[in-house]
Formats: sequence, C-alpha cells, structure tokens
Amino acid sequence: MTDFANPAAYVVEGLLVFFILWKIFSARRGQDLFIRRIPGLSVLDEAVGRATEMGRPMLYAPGMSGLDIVGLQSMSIMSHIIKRAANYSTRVIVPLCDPVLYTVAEEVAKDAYATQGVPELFIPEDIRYLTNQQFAWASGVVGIQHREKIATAFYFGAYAAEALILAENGQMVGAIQVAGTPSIIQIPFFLAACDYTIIGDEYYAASAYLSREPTLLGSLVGQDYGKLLMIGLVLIGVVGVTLVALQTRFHALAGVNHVFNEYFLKYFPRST
Amino acid sequence: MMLHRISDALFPVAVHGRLLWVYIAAALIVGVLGLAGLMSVPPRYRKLVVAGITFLGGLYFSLEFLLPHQPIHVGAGTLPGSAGVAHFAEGLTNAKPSVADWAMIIGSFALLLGTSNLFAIHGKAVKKRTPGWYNSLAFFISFFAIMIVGFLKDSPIHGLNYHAAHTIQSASTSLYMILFNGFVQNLDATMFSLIAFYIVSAAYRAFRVRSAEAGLMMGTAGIIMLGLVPVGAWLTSWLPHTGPLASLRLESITYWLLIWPNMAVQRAIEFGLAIGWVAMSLRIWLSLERGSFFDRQL
Amino acid sequence: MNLLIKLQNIDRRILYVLVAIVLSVPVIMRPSKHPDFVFPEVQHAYDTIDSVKPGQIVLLSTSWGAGTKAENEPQTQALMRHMFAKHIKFAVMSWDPAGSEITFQSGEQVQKDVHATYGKDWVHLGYKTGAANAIISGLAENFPRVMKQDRKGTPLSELPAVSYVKNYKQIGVVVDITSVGLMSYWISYLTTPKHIPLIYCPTAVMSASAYPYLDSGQLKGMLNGVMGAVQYETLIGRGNVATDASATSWALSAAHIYIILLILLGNLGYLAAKRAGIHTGGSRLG
Repeated sequence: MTDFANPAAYVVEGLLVFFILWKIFSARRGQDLFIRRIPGLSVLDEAVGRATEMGRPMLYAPGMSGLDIVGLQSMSIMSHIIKRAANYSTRVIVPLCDPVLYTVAEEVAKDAYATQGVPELFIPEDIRYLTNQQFAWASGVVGIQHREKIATAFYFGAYAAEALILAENGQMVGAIQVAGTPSIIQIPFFLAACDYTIIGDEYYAASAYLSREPTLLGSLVGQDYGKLLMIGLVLIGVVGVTLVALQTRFHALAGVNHVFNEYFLKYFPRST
Repeated sequence: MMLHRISDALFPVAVHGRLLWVYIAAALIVGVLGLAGLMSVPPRYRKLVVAGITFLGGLYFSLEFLLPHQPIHVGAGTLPGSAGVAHFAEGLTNAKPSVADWAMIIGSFALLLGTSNLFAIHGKAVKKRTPGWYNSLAFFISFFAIMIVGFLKDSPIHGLNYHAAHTIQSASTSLYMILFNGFVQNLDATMFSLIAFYIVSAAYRAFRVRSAEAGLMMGTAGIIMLGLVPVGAWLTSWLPHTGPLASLRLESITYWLLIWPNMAVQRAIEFGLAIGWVAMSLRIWLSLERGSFFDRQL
Repeated sequence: MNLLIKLQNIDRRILYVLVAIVLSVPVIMRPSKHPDFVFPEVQHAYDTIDSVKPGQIVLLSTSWGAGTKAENEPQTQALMRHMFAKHIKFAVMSWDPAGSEITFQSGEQVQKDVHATYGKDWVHLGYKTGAANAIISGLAENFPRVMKQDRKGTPLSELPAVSYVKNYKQIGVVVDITSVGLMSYWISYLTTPKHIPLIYCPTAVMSASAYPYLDSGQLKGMLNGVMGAVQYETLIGRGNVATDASATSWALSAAHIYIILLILLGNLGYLAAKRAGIHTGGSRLG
C-alpha cells in the first residue's frame, strides 16, 4: 500500500461504500425511507409561483461549477425548477461559467421542457455561457438581474467571492433568493442576503429530496449511516484519549489504554 | 515492464519535425475512428459502453491508492500473489505523469471549447445586430487585441530588420501592459472590491439580534472581527502578555474561538460534505446516478 | 425614538460612501506599524520554510488573480523575500491564467529589490490547466516530465534553480497561495502521502475552514489573509516598513470598527421599532 493508506482506511471506506450501496438496493426493492423537511428546498415551488404571479423571469445560477459532482447536482436541481416553471410558462435564465457544463445545461433544460410536454417553451438564448472568468461572469449575471428584473433567483452550485455580489444585487431588484452551496465559506454571505439557504450536505440531499427517486433516497440514508459511523469513531477517540490523559492519575487504566493504542490510535495517527 | 516499454516507444516524451505531424495525423484518425465506433454502437448498448468507460476511468486512482505497493509479509515469507499486485500498483503509480499529461491536454481542449462558444454566441449577436451587439463587438476587439500583443511581445519576429522588430516588440509590450495591468487587473480588482460595499449593506440589513443565539453570534463575530486586526490588539494592549489575564486579550480570545468551537463545527460540516461527496462519486462511478441528465436516451 | 427607528434604514449609498472613505484613509496614509502579535500558525509557517534542506525546493502553488491581489500578493511576496534571504530555491506555478502574469510580475518586483536572479534563485513554471489531482499526483512521480518548461518556454534542465528536481523527494515544502482552495488536492495527492509539509495561504474568509487541518497536522502552517502576511513580514524583519500589507491591515481595522458600529446602530433601531410596535422585515415567502 502507499505510505498513507492503512487498514483503517480500508475498513472505514469499505463500510461507507457498503452502507451506501446496501441502502440504495434496499430502496430500489421498495423499502420506504423517511427524509426530513429541508426548508430551503420546500419553498422552491412557492418561489416559482411568485415569479409567475409577478410575470417576471427567474434566474438559476450554478456558480463556478464545472462538470463535476457539484455541477451535476446543480443540474439535477435546475431540472426540477425548470419542470415547475414549465408548468406556468415562466422563463428561467441560466448563466453559466463553464463551457462543458453549458452543453449539459442546454440538454437538461431541453429535456425538462420536453418532459412537461412544452418543448416549444425552451428558449436556447436563456441558457447562456458568459465566460469562465469569475468576476466577468458575476458582472454578467448582475447585468441580467437588473435588465431582466428577475423575480426569483436560485443560486445552487460552487461559489466563491461572487456569491455576495449576486445575492446583494438580487436584493436590490427585490428578488426572492434561495441558495445552496457546498462551499462552506460562502454560506454566511448567502445567509445574510438570501431568503432561504441550504447548508452543507443538504446540498447533496437536494436531488433526493426533490425527486424522491429510490436510488437517491437510499444513498442519502446510507450517508446517514456513514455519519453515524464517523460519530462512533469520534466518540471512541474522545473517550480513549481522555482515558490516556487520566492514566497519570489512575494507573489502573494502563491496560485499557494499551488496547486503545494498539487497536485504534495506531490506525488514526496525526499526520507527520 | 513490457507494457511500459511499448508505451514509451509508442508515446515518447517529445517529438519534433515531420514525426510531430505524423503523430497529429494519427491522433486525428484514431479520434475519428473512435467516435465513429462509438456512434455505431447500437443505442441499447451505448449506456453500457459509457458505464464501462466511466468505471475504468474511476478505477485508476482508486486502485493506485488502495493496492499495496510492497509485497505483504506473512511470517517468514510473503502472501502469494502480493508481489504481482505490488508490481501492478507500481506500474499504476509510474503512469501518473502520463495521466497528468492527458489531464492537461483535456483541460486545454476545455479552454478551446469555451473560446469557440464565446465566438459563436457573440458572432451571432454581431451578425444579427441584436440589442447590445456593440458589447459583442467589444469582445472581439479586446480578445484579438490582447492576443496579438501578447504573442508579439514574447515571440521572436522573423523577416524584419532588428530595429523594426525591436520597435514592434517594445510597442507590443507597452500596449500589453496597458491592456493587462491597466484594464484586466483593475477591472477584476474592481469587481472584487464591490464585495466590501456589499458586505457593509448586507451586515447592516441582516444582522439583527432577534434571539439569545443571535446575540451570542453577534458577540462572537464582534470579538473575532476585532481580534484579527491591529486595533483589536491595541484595545486590550494594557493587559499583560503572560499570566491568567493574558487570556483576556482580544487576540487570545479570538484564537481560542477559532481553534476550539470553530474548528469543531468546521470538522463536523466537512465530515458531512465528505460523505456526501463519497456517495455521489460512488453513484456516478458505478453509473447508479439518476436524474434527467443520467436517464436520457443516448 | 423616530431617529433610532430611521437608523435601521439608512440609504445604502450613504453607507457605501462612508466605507469608501474609511478604507481609503489608511491606504493613502500607509502606516508602517505592524502588529506585535504573531499567531502560532504563522510562526509555524515561518519555521517550516526555515527548515527546508539544501538540495530541496519550495513549490509555490498560486491560484489567485487580480481580485484577491490585495490579500494574496503580500503573502506571496513575504514568502519570496524570506526564501531569497535564506537562499532557498523556489518554483512558482499558477492555476489561473491572469494570475500567472501577476505572480510573475510580483516575483520580478521582489527579485529586483533583493538582487536575485531568475533561473538561478527562482523560476516561474507558468499556467497549468486540467484536472488538478492528475497534475499534482503526476508531478510527485516525475516533476520535469509534468512541468517540462518554465513560462518562457525554457526547459527545466537549463534552469539551475530546478534542474535537479526529479520528483517529490526534492520538494521540501508546498505552499498553496489561493483564493479558490486547492488545499484538499495537495493534501490528498502529494503532501500527506509523501510526507511533505504544506503551508496554506488563503484569503481571510477561507481561513476558518482550515483549522481542522492545522489540528490534524495536515497543514504545517497558515497565513491568514493579509493579517497573516503582515505578521509574516514582522517575522522576516520588515516590522517597521510601510508595506501594502500594513496599510491594508489598518484599513481592515477601520472597516471592521465601522461595520460593528453600523450593526449596533441597526440593532438599536430594531429594538426601538420593536418597542414602538412597528414590525419590520420577515420572510416574503410563506
């Protein structure tokens, strides 16, 4: 093995993969799985409705995402929103920062309109590749926000510094804003400026939440089992390290500490 | 080892002259044949082909990381087969520079794709004189201006006498500095600077102490904001540097907040994100992902 | 009371003009006073660079552009000055096309100041594009094969600063100076598997998420935005020099106080309005 992988890596990764695949296949076999309400996602339909009432278009900005996990997740959410918007004939403008994701977005949008039975509502010019430069893209999106006077804005994707620029300008035009990003450092800016924000791995849960597709729901539940595994490991570590620290006072703990060091701490060392 | 020799012979590190054109032509032919081959696959098997290629592509980094690179010792000997596995894993590691080359080539194509997209979109706008078409014209002017002066300033100019070539190169360098330092850098910095203004209006509008938790968050934010800058250190500079009162200095409280509560919460969020990332990667790698993009007919 | 209530709705244009004034004054005055405290992670970064062995280089990975120049350039230049002073050879690579030119200009500026020589004391490897994980793991195994030449097209074998670098064994430290966050790629594909120290130099807003990695030892040090840069300048003996970093740090101080005062004013207005029974704000949905 490489210098880095040790038996713990195999065990933990193996368990994670097992939990995720187990729950995916259980869900596919028809097992009913519960998912809690995520406020930022349950208002998507209302937000679409607001844009329809006001007769103004919506903006869906996937941020700086490329063709990667974050970008593909954003496309799933975009598909859901466009399907809702298609029911009300509301325009959705999608400015993109990545040329490869642009081709994917165009296909996803076309499919979404076709699935709702209104392929004629698809406007190719609404799916726009602006530029791959961060602030040039941001200024382009700000221009769209002000010129088109958008009623609702969705920000789902990988964001960097341009998050606040978009959110504040959305505020200025009076748009309802719903945001979600796995970029932890941008979440405070979205929280300050948007009406609803989904945080952390709620972003990855979004496609499962919106579609209720068994594979995605199963994967989500499998992730939760994985998190329980991590919590268990952290608790074992906390208790063990505390006992090691107490050994100077309570020498009887030496045996327990030996077991802990030999079978646990050895496999979760600090990086050197 | 033999695979390595074949690969080195077929794909040398650098080729020049006529051989370079042969390689380019061969790459084009292989590309066209490969595309034709993929298009000729019956529709019901296309997803299988895509799933297979995805699986093989994802397998490389997983195997390279997980497979042991040394034989596994059991007692006095080694586990049967582990030497072969180790040799295979070493081969995967040795292939990394080639994989890096491929990654850079594919990344460069993405640049080309972006540029061609921009040309198509703005070219259409100029041709049809759509509202705001002059902005698209500005794109073409600035694109070619910076490209031409960028090449001229660095590349040797053949076919002209020294004085003329030197003059062109100096002029190009000056113009490049005006365009890059004067326009590109300043425009980029200006857009980023807007955040300073927006954070002021966002903070002023949104940060209301509506509950005890919000009050706690405000207090903590205030301490960290002051503790990280010189004026915060100055405010509590009258406290001693050592002793129990030293921990009441603003920078000390700030540091404690960053390395204890902040770190714990960041770690928790990172765990959740990482597991979400693993799950989605696994679904894409094994072609289990669902959604309109993945469910469409190929 | 009415005045207090009005205070929570000040026109944003007034706020913007005031913040422009507040930020401009220290930048124009350029105070040279540096902070007299240094965070432990900055000290560790300094010590890590200091401990680079002869025959090894420092790899500066830069992924910043003009937007974050105010934060990342002082970090870059402070590190360069330290390495030039200690005769530690380093190579700069950029993941941003505009950033490649900017970081080269930054290096040339410092080089001129300290009378260093390009090619002998440092090199710039230019802009790299593509999957970062593939490039990083590739350069670990065969550095000249992946990097090939510097930004001017000179083969690495002709540049004394890096001609001897074959693979990860000749890389003493990796420094990630970034506004986009490539830290996880460096940790996963080079620094942790190959036991190479990694120093992280993010913008200030990104630094909060780096503390778990500092705690686990995967990061050996960090320069926290421009404040990290100004503390590093103190460590390299420029504590009394008027630099961009010192001016920016005082501008930050002024801006932070201004924002805190605004938040206090807004909350005073909010409390006054609440007492007067005037409802303000709330969600526009549901």
